[in-house]
Amino acid sequence: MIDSRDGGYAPPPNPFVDVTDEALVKLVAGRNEDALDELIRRHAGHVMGLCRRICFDEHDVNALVSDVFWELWGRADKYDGTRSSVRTYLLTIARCRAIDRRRSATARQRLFAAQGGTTNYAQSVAAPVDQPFAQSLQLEKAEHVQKALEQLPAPQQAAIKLAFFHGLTHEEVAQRLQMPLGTIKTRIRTGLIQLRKALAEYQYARDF
Amino acid sequence: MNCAEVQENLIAFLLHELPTEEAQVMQEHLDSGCGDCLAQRSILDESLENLFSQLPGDSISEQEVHQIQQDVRARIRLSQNPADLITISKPNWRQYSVQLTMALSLGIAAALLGPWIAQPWSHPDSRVVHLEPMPARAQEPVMAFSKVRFTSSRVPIAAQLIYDAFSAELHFFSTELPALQQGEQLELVLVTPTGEVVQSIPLTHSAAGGRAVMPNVTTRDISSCEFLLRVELPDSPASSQSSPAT
Repeated sequence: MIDSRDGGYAPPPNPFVDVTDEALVKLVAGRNEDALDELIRRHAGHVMGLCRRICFDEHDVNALVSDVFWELWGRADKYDGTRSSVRTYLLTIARCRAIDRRRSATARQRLFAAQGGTTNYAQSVAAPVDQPFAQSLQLEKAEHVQKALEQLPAPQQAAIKLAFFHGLTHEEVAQRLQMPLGTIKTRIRTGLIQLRKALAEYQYARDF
Repeated sequence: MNCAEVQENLIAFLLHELPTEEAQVMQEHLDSGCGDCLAQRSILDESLENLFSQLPGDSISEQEVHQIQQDVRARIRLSQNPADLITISKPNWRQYSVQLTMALSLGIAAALLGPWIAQPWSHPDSRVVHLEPMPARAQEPVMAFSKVRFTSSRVPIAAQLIYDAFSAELHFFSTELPALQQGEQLELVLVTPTGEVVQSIPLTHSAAGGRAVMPNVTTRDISSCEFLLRVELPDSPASSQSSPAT
């Protein structure tokens, strides 16, 4: 189809516009490649963002993003929508694969050198451009998660940020903070439980 | 594994950080319906969801999205039809049919004229580089496979590269390789378009020729990178890529 106004190619209407991520994964489990394309379109940016945080080699990042969606194709039938969103599911896979890739590369030193600063994650949350309401809700929630994180005791906060935002494994967090592995596991777990509690209180206050 | 151990390792389990066997034990424990551990898991699931929702996404162009979609679809096609394992290279064989014919001709010529070519694999001055990436212009590829191009100072190499997308391995076979001197090591090198060496592996070198299997090679590597051969000198490895062959 040629768009006479700009002389370019106008893609056909997207048949998956109103289809949820969870429904798309079910279609992927049924071997629907178009549904996989749509999931790539929706989530590749986030997967790429996380991969870049963990693995600084651009060449590795591009390959990793493909790896993540290829893995989704292979295990879409194992996805449990009651446990996590599709994005979280993909990011969990991406984190794991990126850590593997980083381990096998020589990027470790660059990781520590480049991640010295702090980031306000609430300000940089990306949201679908065509969903302004969802975007505002997401931003609002992001701010509360950020606040809840900041209210955690500093040791828990540091361990959680290193594990989730900087993509370090529990063992790497323990080495970085020079603490026993068991202590780090406990800090992260306790911190996550407190985080959930704080967010539940926020949700309660917002609903009433 | 008791409940305390399960709960201590739950996050690592949810993040796929545990070894397979340990993860299986965890899964069995959760599948057994342990109420405390399942409740703990639900809490952690929710927290992970909240944390991952904080991660910003990168802006990504339509072209990049399309490239990823094509990469994944290519893998799907390969997995659906194992006979097409070298699908990626098929169009290139046709594209380089003239060059391949030339390569074959040159190979035969080299075999016939070999005895009359003095030290064909030796660089006249330093024997630093026997093989080099072919410049983009002015030379004809002696052997082509996808974007793999081999040439040497004087004699073409008869080599074959097969990419196995399942195992992500690149297999190198060659029946003709340069004669190496004491301590020298021939390497297959994966190089990005900007000249960065991604990885290199030594070739198994015998009278029958050279063999190598390079692991962790992606389809993107195949489409965007080049594979080179180089001689690693025992005394000055850093110089092995320096001098152009004559």
